[in-house]
Amino acid sequence: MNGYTGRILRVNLSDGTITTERTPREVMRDYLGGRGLGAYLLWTEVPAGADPLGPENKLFISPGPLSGTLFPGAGKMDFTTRSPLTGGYADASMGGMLTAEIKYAGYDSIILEGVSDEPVYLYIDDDTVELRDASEYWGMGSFALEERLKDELGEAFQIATIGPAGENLVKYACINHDFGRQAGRGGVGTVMGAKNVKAIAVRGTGGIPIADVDTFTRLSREAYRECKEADGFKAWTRYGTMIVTSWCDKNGALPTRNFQSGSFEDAADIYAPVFRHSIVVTDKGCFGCPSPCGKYSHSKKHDIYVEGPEYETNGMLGSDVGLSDIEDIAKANQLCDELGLDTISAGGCIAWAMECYEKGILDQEQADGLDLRFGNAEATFGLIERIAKRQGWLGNLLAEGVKHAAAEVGQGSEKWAVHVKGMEQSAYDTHSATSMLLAYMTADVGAHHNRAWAITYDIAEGRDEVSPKKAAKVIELQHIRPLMDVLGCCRLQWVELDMSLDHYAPVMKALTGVEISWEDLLQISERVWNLTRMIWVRDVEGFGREWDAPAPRFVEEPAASGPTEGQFTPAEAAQQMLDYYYDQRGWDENGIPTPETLERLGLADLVGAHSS
Amino acid sequence: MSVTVVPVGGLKGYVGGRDQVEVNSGGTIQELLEQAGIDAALVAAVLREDDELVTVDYRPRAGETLKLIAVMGGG
Repeated sequence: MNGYTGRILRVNLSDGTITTERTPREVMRDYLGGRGLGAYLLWTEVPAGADPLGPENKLFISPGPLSGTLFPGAGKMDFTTRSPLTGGYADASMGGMLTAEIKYAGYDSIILEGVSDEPVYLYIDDDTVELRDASEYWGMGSFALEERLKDELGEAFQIATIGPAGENLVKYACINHDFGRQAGRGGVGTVMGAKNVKAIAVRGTGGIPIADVDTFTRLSREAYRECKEADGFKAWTRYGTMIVTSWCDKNGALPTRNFQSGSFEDAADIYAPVFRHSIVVTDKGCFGCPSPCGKYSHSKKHDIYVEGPEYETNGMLGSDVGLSDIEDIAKANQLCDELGLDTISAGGCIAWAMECYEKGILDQEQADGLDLRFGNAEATFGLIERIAKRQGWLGNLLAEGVKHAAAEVGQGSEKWAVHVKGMEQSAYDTHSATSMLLAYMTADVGAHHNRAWAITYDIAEGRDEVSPKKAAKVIELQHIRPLMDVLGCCRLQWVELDMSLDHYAPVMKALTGVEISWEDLLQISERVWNLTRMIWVRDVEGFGREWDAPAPRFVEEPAASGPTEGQFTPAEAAQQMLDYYYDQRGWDENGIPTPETLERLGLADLVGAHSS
Repeated sequence: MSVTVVPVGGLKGYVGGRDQVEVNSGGTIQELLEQAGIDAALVAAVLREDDELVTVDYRPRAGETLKLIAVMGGG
């Protein structure tokens, strides 16, 4: 089928067998690729009850149909697995160059299954695929290993690695690539570590079959031109996602001191212009990107180089832990990357611990001697290291994630453990933003913003409004944003540059030769959304409405300061939003897709599936 | 003495679809936006000369041109 390589690579780490199989045509038709293919494979291949860190769990590494093509932003791919952090469905999108290389090597997906007895890395050079000894690399940092493998294998290879956090099974370990790109969320790096896979190195020299090359090239050029001529092109390219820091701060959305408020008194020191002028060295983009959002930075204070920080890291390892020196935030970012930690979850866990410390629930002895007051940069660095290495009581505790840590510590600390489904919330305060709160409650991996970024809708429509149309907006966004992860391309050309969504269906038709409309694409995205929901239903005992509960902080406690001071969303309002959402999705009152909904989406086989 | 405000995309809706509006100088951008009838909460970025980012606290000089970028999505 055009747009695809037609092959899936299966690597059994337990017995070392490596095979290829045909990519099922009907699966490509119904799920397209990327996150869609990963969810399908997770449903069909990983049994309910599989230990996320055991041999039955698998890691699916999937480019999308647009990955590696000329279409703008075609540098994305998806890692899909059962999450060790949440116990449910997880996928993490990653940019960089690896996705194109996997396609050029001839694979629509790579399946890692079983567990290797010894540390290995996966070597792929087109059809030459080997598991190679990685014993001597075990313990190395992510960037150090990427540099080492580039030296040994050559620059043409694209490398993905895990750091010590992945080796140590920290529940939110990430996968690093291209010296600063991550598949960050849900513990995809933890699963790689549990399988004893330290790295993946890929070189491909093949191509991608395209049904109508002339039309595909013309449409891609038009989309490119639209990006380059966008009014916001220069600003977004200059500042990247950091541009939203000041907006979030002014609108009470910047997480501050463990989301106690949405505005930071020292925020001006971490706004985008300060960042750009003080530490950015150059812009850095992914494969095929017209508007590189990555910023490669150098901190003279700490003598480190890092890609970033981008907005999420600025929020979670900046204001949320009380840091206001952009160079300190860059250092925390660099530590997380090198050690292989998701910066969002790491920031959330550290902020929770700092609040416990300031409230007298944790003392300095429990904190391994660290003075965990908000704003203490050295303590932040020290705790990042301890988490990644599982050092000390607190480092080991926080390595399990904030939900687990709060359950262990108790004393009311569950009230300020900011997570949904066990995943730490990313960097938007939701005291007074009912759509965004609902987006976090219902995101299919946990509290992550990349499924629906609805906070501007809240501001336009009324922040505390509770209405069916707000639920409808969240659903609309949950079909569009994750569709980009199905297609294997970046959403930022759309969300930042306002590139028209009208490009996607025609370009997919030119790529595959199959007639497809925008409505068809949205229905596939809705199918995937319901499939991931059913994975939760099947795999997590007792899964239902209570798993969509918001973090108590936003529904019980007013924001402490800033533009939303005194505001919060009453719990009943959040539940009303959930009612609207379930009703519009065709789910029952417990949040389970009805048989009619599953049948409408071609998922009739899933009817009746539940955790046993 | 005035400042030229150039709303981009959906922000044009606040000024009757016009490509640019003139507002009196002397206040912060926040105040100038209020003068122009534009909701500052929906402005992601205010860009002055050479697309330099400034915050809504900035006081533009008379004769300056400011481009307003709408909030569309985050990271």
